[in-house]
Amino acid sequence: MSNLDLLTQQIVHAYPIHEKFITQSVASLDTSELNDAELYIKHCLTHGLTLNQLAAAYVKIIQDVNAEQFYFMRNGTYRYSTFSEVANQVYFDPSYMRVYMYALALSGFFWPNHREIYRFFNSILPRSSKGHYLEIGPGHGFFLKEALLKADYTQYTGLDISPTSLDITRSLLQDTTIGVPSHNWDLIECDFLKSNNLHEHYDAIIMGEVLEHVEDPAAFLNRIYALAHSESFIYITTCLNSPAVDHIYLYETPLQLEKQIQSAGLTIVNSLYVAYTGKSLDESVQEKLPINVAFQLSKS
Amino acid sequence: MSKELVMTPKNEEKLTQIFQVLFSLDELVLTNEMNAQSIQGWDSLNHIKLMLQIESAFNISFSNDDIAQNLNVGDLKVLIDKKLS
Repeated sequence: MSNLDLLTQQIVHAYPIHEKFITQSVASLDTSELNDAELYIKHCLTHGLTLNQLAAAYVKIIQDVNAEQFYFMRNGTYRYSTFSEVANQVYFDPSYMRVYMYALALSGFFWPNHREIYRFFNSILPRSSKGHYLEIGPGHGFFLKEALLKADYTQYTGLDISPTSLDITRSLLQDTTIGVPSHNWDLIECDFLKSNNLHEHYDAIIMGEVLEHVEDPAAFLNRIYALAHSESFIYITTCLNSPAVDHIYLYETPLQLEKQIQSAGLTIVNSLYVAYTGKSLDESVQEKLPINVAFQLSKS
Repeated sequence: MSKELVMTPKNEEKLTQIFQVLFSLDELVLTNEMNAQSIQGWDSLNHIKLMLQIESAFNISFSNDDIAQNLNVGDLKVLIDKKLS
């Protein structure tokens, strides 16, 4: 039995209500994604984690998301709205952040919405462009790892406010079994809006699942605009009506988000909306159900 | 969770109606052993909807821990009774 099967079994044992969802999701992974999942689990197992701990981390985050979903459906808002309310209990709490990041990484295999976003990124990531690549908030490191393996940029930089997140990303990128080149990436611990050691422009700017974590997402989009040039590849993801322990900025409609992007001077080149499973986009908006979004943007 | 079931017939009926409407199962007859595996459509989101509707119907309030538990119908009845007492 594979490690993925064993992990799935442990998750279902701990959280039976998830059985159908996770079984269907794993069954829809293609061969390459199954290999990636096995590789990632092996990475975790060779870096001090057990399958039991991984399963517990995943179930803990599912339960935390459910608690926030319960709050959201009861109140119509996210529980928190300021960075200071969530920073110490999430980003700067190494113990929680580790659990959160490992679970989120696994969600790329176990949640169809996260997998669709990942597939979309893979489908539009330029393969032969050169220059400087910047990722704001690499989190668990999966997108940065993917870019390092598949794209051909000259230098890759990941910046994050969470030291734990950077440690986890570094560990993934340094794992020789993953196969990432060792010479052309660096990780910086800083606040994107306050960082003063960046290049004037970047040829690729990636920002996955950040906007919903900040009080002023427009400021982040404005800074991306300032750091981009007319040919830059810009990729951002976020979510609508998607409560989580550290989501503080609520997007309720696609229009609200698209207007904010356009106000920053950015143009939407490609978009992917992933509605709630079994619902249309309109139904998901109407019923205030979680929607994931990915955009390729340009400065033009 | 202990299984000292004392739910009144009226509350049983109220709970059954919530299940019947939420899961579109008009003929559903609840048994204590029923759970997310045996009731079609009892997934994470519907579990949250179920708990919200129970809160509203019984005028009780659930905690995060209550939401996170793996409950079967019998457990749910015990939990509701506990909240009502």
